[in-house]
Amino acid sequence: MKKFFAKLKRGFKKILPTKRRIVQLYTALLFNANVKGFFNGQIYQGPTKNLCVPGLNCYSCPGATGSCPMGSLQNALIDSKTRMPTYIVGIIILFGLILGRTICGWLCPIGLGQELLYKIRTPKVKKSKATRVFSYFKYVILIVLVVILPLSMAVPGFCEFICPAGTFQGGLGLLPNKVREPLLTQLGPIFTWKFIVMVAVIVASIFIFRFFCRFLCPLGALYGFFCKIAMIGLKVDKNKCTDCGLCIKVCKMDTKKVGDHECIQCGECISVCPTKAIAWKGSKMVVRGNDTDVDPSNGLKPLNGLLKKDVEQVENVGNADNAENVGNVSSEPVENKGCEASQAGVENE
Amino acid sequence: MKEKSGERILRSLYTILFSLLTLFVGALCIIQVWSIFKSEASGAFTRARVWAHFKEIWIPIVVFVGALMGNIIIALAYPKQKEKLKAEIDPWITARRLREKVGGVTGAKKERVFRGVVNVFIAAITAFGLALCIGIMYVDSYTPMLSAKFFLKQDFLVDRLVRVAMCALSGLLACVILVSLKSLSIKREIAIYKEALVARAKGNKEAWASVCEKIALAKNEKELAQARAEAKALLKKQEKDAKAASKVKKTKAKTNKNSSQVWIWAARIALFAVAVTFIVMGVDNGGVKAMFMKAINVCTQCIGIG
Repeated sequence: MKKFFAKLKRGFKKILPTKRRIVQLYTALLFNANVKGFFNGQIYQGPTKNLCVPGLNCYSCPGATGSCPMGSLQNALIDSKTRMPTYIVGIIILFGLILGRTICGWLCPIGLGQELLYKIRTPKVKKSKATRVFSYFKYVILIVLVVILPLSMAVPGFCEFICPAGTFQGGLGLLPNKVREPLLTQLGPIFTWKFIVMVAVIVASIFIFRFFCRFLCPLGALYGFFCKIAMIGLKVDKNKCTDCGLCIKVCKMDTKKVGDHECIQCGECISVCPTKAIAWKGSKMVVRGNDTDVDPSNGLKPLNGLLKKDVEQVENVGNADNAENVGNVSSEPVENKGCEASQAGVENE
Repeated sequence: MKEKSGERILRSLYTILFSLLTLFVGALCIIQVWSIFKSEASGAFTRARVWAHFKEIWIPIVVFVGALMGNIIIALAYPKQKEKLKAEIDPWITARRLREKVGGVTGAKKERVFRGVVNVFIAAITAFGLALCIGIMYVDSYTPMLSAKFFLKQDFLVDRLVRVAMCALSGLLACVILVSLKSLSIKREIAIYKEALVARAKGNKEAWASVCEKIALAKNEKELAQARAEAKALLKKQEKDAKAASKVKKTKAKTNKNSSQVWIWAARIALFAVAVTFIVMGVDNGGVKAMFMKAINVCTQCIGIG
């Protein structure tokens, strides 16, 4: 028993929150700071609702202190016949330009919730080619539910049919309150559908890393367009990079390279890179790789393995081509002994 | 401390059972909400009814919460072992590396053109499929698919949804075939580069072999000196080529980096200007007020009322 408690103590020490987790927790609290609302069933009506929060956070949540960018965008598109949706588009561009998908990795409360759910110890579904293909589904949602439906049928398709944040924060946050009894009686098929989606997303998030972000979130898809030009994010020093692929291997998102449209800039790959080629744009901050399942000290081992494999598979052939180095030629199985001698002679000269 | 294998097996068993319990409880929640909805189509959700339905499944929920606590305690007591990764090179990266090394090879260029064409086809199929799906949804005078009646509208479900599904599936199948063609093409490209490398290596080897032979078979000092001079020249030539190649590579990388940086900054400045202009315009045309009004009232769509 003593041993078990000692282990538990060590475990607690090991789960000390990382910088990213602290930022995520703070932002989640900040975005939902109206705690009073959860008790009296009233939505916050202060001036901060004139502004959008960068992450997905339903404005119908009693705790929400800012507006949801997705909901606002869809409603602005619905109103676009009378008023151009410039304000929300401008804000989204600004967020994308400054932070890009760093918002998903550092500021989104829904992302935080999913990451915590993923920490529950169960067998996990790892990323694969199939998940990479499915990751493009969020673009379909963006086009069909966020753009086409609001424009053509005046329906905020994503909020109405998919958004689990709305069901969880808005629905389950408001409806249990007695003040909202009339709303409860109005629930029907759409709520049933949305509840099913929410439960499916929660359960799936336990087994699949950031299920909603990877496959369904249109806001992430939108911010993904800014991956190349975002001011804050990860960069790779191509001179240092050996293309070992460890960063992609350790990444749980469906990335193909560091900083692409799927990369949420969590920075977990920084501590794994054996050549320290990955860094923050304009900063030397290192994120402790607590969430990664890879020992950074082993970083060099795979690289060695890679070089060996590389040499065997590809460059072995090329090494011969690298007869630029005479030494390499002499190591080739040249049968003529006189040749070796003569080469040595050339080198000596 | 070394972990006992028995403990590990027990933990694995626990996690598997916990996973099954999670799925079971999730399914139970869905079934309960569905049964509330089915019991009375409108006005089904009352506090009393919801409470009564969820009371029926309180035992699994309590078990689940207990199991979750157990799971957390186990996770704390047995932190995950750090995984030793073996890196795998993506075929695209291998191809890029080889391309940089070998340079332009005719066959490889053909493969790249082929992949470009395939990309165009994929984009076209996706666009066409989307257009077709939207067309199927909107043409004629069906009830708007997204009204509450959508879920009960039999003709819609049987007719349009099936057609959309067929369309999407066939599009997806075509895309999968095209993507596999692309991966075949990249493999072919790698093979072509490898062949080119082998040929080049062979050529170098032959050149060296002939020089070596000359040195070995030299009859007098004059011939030997001549052969050695040839070897030296060959060596110098190869060194020169290597230097030139690396210089070109570095210059190319530097130029690319500089030009891409310029473009990125230009795009940033332009987008920043656009964003600020849009925000100012939004403040001016009442967009802020509209958003504020929406945000301070309960959004029925978000909750699920519709």
